[in-house]
Amino acid sequence: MENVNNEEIRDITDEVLDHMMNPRNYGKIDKASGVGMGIDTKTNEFALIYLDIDESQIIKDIKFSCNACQDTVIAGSMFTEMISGESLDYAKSSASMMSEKIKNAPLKQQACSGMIIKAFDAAVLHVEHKKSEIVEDMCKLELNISCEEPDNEE
Amino acid sequence: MKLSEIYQKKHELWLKILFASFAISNETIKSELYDMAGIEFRHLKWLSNLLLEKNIEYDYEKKCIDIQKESNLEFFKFLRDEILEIKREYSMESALFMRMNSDENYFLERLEEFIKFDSNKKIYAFDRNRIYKNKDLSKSSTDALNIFLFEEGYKEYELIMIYAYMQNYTKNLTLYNVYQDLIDESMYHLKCFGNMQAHMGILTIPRTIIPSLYKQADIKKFLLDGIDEERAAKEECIKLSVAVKDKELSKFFDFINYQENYHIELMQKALMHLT
Repeated sequence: MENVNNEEIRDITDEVLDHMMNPRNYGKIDKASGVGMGIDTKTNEFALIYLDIDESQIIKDIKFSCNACQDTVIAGSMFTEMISGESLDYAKSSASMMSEKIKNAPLKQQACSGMIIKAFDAAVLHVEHKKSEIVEDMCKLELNISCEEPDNEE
Repeated sequence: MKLSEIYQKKHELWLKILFASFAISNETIKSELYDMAGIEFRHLKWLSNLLLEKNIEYDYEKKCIDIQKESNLEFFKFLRDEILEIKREYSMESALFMRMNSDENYFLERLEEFIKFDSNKKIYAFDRNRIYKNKDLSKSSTDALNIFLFEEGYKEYELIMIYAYMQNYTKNLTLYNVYQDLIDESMYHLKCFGNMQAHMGILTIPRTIIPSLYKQADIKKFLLDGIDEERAAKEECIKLSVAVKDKELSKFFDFINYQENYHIELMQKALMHLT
């Protein structure tokens, strides 16, 4: 059997398969402290993050959902598992680190994981807006890359 | 229990029986469970009609469903208990509930028979072996096939539920029939992909569908986007067919690919009949 293009296909490790079969924190929070959407406007694929933050700025609960490909589900599952129960500051720095880390990944994975980070950033923004008494259902941030673009596009 | 909650429970029950049919390897029981799931899906359709008549909102929310059972016995008992639980909620004042009750009484009898005669078998559908028996797949090809099965399995489930929702709300007979054809097509694809997932030990219930996807404000846009998605799915089938240098699997993905062409035709027909 011929190998497929490894650049395009995610390497499925045992850990990745576990997240595919049992995505962590998939769903929604009805009365969330903040809700954010990260959207790829070229494909209309999106991810949603729901944050429940207590008074000490600890993430009591986090959920995600998405209309996107499997890579986004994997990224959402891994990221939410990593920051659940942690402080908001820790979560923000984890998001920044993840953004840096995925810069070297194939474009499709950059877009899919980036969608989760954007949704998280948007949810944090929504929390801040609520403090400033700005009324909105959620905040939305657009991705600056799309998985529709070919890998070699300049 | 509210009617909309019964709907949610029935949605979960349909998925549990359907995915049990993928997980069980005994061909006779597999086929019988698949038929039971088909009947449960019709219950769901009739319940959605009733909800619409009563002007009650319903959705596709569902709980996290753990179907990763180790033996047939465990799975049959699980299904039996789930049926017994929901049956308690039926009001016997309507023909629909009497019908659902009667069907499920029979399902319970069949499950008891399965428990007696085929309970010791181990289930391999969740063991993560990722081996396609008698196929020489490389690691990257296996990864590609697995990603495809997860993505397209979810997509088929999503399409079934979206078209079912749109079908319930349309008064146009042509559109109703087109949606039914698309549901039937996706049911077949879901069955194929589900059985392949089970074969490779990676079977899972699809994730919950986001309400904005089925509560479509703009059906025209949905269909236009859907045509693009069908084209993308065709591309995925072609890529996979080329990558899998196995005659049998390649033929299967070519066959699925050609079916997508007709889905596009059906969706274009629906677009023409939108008012």
